[in-house]
Amino acid sequence: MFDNSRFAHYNDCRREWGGIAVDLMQKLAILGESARYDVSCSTSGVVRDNGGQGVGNASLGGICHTWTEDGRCVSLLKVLLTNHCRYDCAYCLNRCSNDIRRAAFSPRELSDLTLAFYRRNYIEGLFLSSGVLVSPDHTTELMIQTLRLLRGEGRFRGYIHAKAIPGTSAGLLEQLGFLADRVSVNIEQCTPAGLRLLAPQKTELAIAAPMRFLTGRLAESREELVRYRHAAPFAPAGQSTQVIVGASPERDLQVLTMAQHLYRNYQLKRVYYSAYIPVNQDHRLPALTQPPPLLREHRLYQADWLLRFYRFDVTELLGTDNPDLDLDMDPKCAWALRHLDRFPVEVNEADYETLLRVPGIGVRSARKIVAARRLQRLSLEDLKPFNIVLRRAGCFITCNGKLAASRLPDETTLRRLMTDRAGTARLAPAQISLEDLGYVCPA
Amino acid sequence: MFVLHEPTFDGLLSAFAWCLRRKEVSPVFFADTDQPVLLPVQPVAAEPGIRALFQRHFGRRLGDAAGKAVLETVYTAYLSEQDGLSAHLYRYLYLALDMKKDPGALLQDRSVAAVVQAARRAGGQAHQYLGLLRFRLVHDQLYMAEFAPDCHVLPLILPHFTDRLSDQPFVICDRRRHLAAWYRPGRGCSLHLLLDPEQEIASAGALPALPGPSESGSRDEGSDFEQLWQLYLTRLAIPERRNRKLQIANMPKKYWRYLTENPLAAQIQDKQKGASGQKPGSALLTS
Repeated sequence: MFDNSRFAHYNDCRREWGGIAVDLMQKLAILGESARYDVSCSTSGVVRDNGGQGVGNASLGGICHTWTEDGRCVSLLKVLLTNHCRYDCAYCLNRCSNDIRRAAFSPRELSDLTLAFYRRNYIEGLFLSSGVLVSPDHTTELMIQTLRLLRGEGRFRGYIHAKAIPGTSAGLLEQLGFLADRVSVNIEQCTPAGLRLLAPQKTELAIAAPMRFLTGRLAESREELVRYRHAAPFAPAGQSTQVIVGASPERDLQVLTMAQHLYRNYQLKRVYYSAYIPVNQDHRLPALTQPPPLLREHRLYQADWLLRFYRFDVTELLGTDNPDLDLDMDPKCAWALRHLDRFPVEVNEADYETLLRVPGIGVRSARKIVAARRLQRLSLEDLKPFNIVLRRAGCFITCNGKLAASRLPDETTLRRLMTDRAGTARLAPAQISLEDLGYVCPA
Repeated sequence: MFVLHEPTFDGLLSAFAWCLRRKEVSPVFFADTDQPVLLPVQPVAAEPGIRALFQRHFGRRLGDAAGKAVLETVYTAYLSEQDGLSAHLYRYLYLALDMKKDPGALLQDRSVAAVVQAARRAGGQAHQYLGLLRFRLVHDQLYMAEFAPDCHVLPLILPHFTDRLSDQPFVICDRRRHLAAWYRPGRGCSLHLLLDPEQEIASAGALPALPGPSESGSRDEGSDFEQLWQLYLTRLAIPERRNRKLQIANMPKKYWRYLTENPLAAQIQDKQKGASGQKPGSALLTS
């Protein structure tokens, strides 16, 4: 039975750790604020029943628990173990040369806080990252200690996402992977030059080595699970990474080529793109007054979706003659406008891959169309329950030979039609969701 | 054919069974709580074990997986409590038996589209509440959550919470339907009717006394955690990315009432403190 009295000490919680005395509230304020630039908050990809063995389970599709004022979903308690850091990365709020308040959770504090939040259904689990205290290995040991308390003493079976610090040894990564559901290593910059310029203490090797180790270990774990059903799974939700865009002069082509490489060769579950928000005054970085490239970040996510779910190749979206995504319209519309000779397509006959490439038709809609037309041919009037964005798709499809639009628009009109709200609002770009643009997020 | 059934899912299923046996193509269903009908009606009583009967029958005709999927869709759509859905639900079942497969893909059919849409609505809302339900400690060991969903999602979310919080006694109160589900470790879950807002319980005082319907900001016995959570959320938001419209689009205001972190309350609090130039949530740090 859960014993609530264990948490009584929070009412008089003044602790000292890492040489700094701050109460729990201040620690949470400092370490939550320090962690807010980490983008990932996904909890999908792993299913685990409670099985009467403690508290918590994991849901395959992930669950969002709330949304902050910036519109981002919160499903995990996203904090740093400490914001003390010996590195001096130009873009980072927590770099050692910044004069900011520093704090650190003790492993038990963080473990108890996670459980208390979880029991109130505030969160789906823990996202644990950290500044580099003493060394990558030392920091990872503290993280492992926290996760052991949670998984062991706390009997916690909820979701855990752990950040692997570049330069951590393989043995510790192995331990981390058996405690967490997802492990991620931040690439931060997509070009070696950008990394050398902005994070001189991090090397390509220090970042690539843990990623390679995780990829190999994940493959081994999958094989083990085929042979032995009860083998302990290693990071069952896989690995992900994050890259900052807009801090160095990289092109979208470079960013997406790297993302595709990671998806194909490292079997990454997600690459997160983070629009650089100027937090530091530094001659190597854009000026503090420059607004974050939120619309570019949004287009990169759209293109990323095309790579992962719509069977596009990066060379189809971008090339050396157009190395950046069109900010006025989503990448699929831009691709369709460059390939007008392939349209219109007949909804009743086009194969699944072709349907996926029609602007306004998402993965779910395409699947529904393929399933429905096996039973009965579709007419234009039938398309409403299929969640198709007809404003866009109407220009690219026919149903029983009939065009949805009265006539096929010329390229200029099409371009105007395809320019979405985000494109027309370019002068005052705002973050918008994929769903705003008619994308249906696949499960 | 006009069929009168009991106002429960079992009652409706029994009416469906009665019509399916007679191969009725388009019967009209009335729950016996509806307005009196000035037409000759056929009353059908709820049959005991009707759900098991449907499961067996649909399993035989469609295969176990498809049969289960059809009945789940129908049940979830029923829980959306949408008016005028009974005829569509009947046609959905009729089509399933006729086609010998799950008709869910046949969205060209008006009834199938209506059932799938209703099921999606109830299922979607249940999924939202898996994240947006908030528990607070009301007694030594008892946690309580309140909500007032549009659809009757309590039966859909209960299995999730009884599995997740299997070692923790809790009560989930549906304030719209005056229902409470009480879970006790090792003793399973029981449903109780909340007779009045003063939380009197119909079933002979079995449920411990609970606080009445509350607005957000209600105090948890370990209220430090409520404050910690509110503070954490104010600090997690990135001011440069502030986008209230997106927040509201993802989390419509109808969900805010019972949230610990009611965004409206936080907004008012920050406005009050804004004049003094404090950071969002800084009031919490000094309290």
